[in-house]
Amino acid sequence: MLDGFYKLLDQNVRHLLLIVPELLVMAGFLLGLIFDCIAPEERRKSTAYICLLFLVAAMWVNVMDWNGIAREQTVLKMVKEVPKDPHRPIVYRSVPVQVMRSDALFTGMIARDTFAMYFKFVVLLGTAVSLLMALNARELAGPNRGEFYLLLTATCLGAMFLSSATNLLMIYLSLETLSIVSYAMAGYLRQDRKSAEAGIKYAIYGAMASGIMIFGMSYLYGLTGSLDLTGPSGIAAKWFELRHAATPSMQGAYLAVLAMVFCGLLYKIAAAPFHYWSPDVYEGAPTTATGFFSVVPKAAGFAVLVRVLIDFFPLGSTSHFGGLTRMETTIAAIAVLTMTVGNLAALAQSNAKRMLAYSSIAHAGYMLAGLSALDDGLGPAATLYYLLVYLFMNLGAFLVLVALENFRGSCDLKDLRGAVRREPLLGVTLVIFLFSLTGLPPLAGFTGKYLIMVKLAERGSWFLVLFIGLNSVISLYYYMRLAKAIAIDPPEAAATPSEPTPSVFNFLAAGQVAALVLLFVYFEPVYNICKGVLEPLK
Amino acid sequence: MDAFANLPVLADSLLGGGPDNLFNYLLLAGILFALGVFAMISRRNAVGILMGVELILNASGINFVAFSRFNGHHLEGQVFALFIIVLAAAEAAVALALVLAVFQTHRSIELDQVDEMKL
Repeated sequence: MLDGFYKLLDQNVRHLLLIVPELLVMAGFLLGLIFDCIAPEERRKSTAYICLLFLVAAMWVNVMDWNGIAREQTVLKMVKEVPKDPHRPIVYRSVPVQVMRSDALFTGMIARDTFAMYFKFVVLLGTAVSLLMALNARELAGPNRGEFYLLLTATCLGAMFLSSATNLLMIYLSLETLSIVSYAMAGYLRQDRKSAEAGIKYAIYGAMASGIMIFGMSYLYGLTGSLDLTGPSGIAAKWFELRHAATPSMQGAYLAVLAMVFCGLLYKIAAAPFHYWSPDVYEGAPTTATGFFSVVPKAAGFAVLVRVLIDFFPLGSTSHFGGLTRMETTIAAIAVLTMTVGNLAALAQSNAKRMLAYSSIAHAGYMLAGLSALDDGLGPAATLYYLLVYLFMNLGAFLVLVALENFRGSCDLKDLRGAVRREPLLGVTLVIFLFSLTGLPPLAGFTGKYLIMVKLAERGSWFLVLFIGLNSVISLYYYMRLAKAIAIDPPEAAATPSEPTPSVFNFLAAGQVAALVLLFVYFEPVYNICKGVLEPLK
Repeated sequence: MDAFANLPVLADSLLGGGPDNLFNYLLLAGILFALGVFAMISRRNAVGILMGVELILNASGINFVAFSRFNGHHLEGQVFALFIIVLAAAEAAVALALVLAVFQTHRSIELDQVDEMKL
């Protein structure tokens, strides 16, 4: 008996070498924590540099891992090529094809696959940019500033584990790591009334959602007898057996259990019936944290949502025993509700942060619309692409807001008036980010929406296409209100002299605009990567 | 009719069937869950709501342990219950710290009064 135990222990220790990115982030967090405790107050900025160093290292290792997996898994495959000219012969050619495999680590707790690596890349990038924002945000300056950087890094760790979790326990643990640390981040400005309120609201809504989710999970465990999502005796497999054999009244009970679990996941991405927390939290939290919340936890939430969805409803297969159309209809309904509620509420806002909070709800709706097409990988792939684009445009908008808030002291539209006169480059880039959020070419926001709409149109979901189109028009109105306030309206009073804006803001904003243009021009390779990373889930 | 057909079984397990069966544990957990949800909805006091959350978490803990014991599964469920206890403690620590921060800024932890941000 002990033999088996030692074998398992040995295996787990060896698996540690395969999660180097997570270990690096953890090391960065711990070293930063130690440094923050012993460093004098004026040196605590360096905590961020320590964390940043490890984040970048983790990103590098992650990309290397990705390459490694891709190369390992390349096999030659015969492909039939039919020339356009009918007189020429049909050619067979052997082409290297990447066969993606999913490695289960730690006895099936997490998966080491390209899907997880894609999301880890997004999460690490988002955290690194947020760290740079936090370093230069005036509202975060003070003797305890190091703590905020550490909280960012710890959240990133939770998000990384969440994007590779394949076991209910692991999903719960990493979701809670992500959430609990986020509560502290939202309430970080302890003397600020709004920030404290945001913190307590986030904590209470989050605890509610995770409580309901965990109760659903307990029934899922009881019904299927497993905590693993995948595998022959995993939840997904058992679920189909059960549903196939169930009486109609039991079917309802199963659906209730599934709904409870999805409730927790939809809460994390702030989809419509579970979005009430997000405007208040986004408005009250420090602006840097708001930008971070709108991207990183949302990305991780989408990762686990896509993984669970595809486990339950495998792409391109008919082995789901019905219920697929019903699931797709449910997601489509949530998507329509989410984008409409988000956009309509955003129209009335007078605070830029709150406006962008509602706008990020709407964007979750667009991304969910992509997930409502589960017949092949194209819909989810479009969602993954959109997520990457969303990272750049939304974080970019918040980046500029942090810079403007530094010298205007508030994110109300009336305080931001005419800010372009002091910061021409930042003002212009903000307008570009807003164009991209609306979905105007030549920016990647357009491509993201286009790919989702094309997929939906292909399978005849014209209703959804119509709603995405209508919502884009609505969103144009409030995005342009913000753009007008910053670029056209005259400033209210003579500018009070203040410190110059650090040039890192200019570099980051310009870089993100460049990324948006590049993602527009070279959307195809990126989209192909997105399609590729879905392979291991099939 | 179906519901009534099960009544004797239900009564049996409630009264005479002995305490040690799955149904009783699930019933207990269900009642705890319902109480927790009720507390979260009806309470205006932040600490009261957090107590409701604790009830829900413990209800799921009981579910996990009960399923683990009666459905012949391995220890997974019991391990899960341990993790729930740990995370409930962590969550309570952070949430109570935030309650303190709210009390310092608002001099109240009644959530109706902690509501500055509105549409």
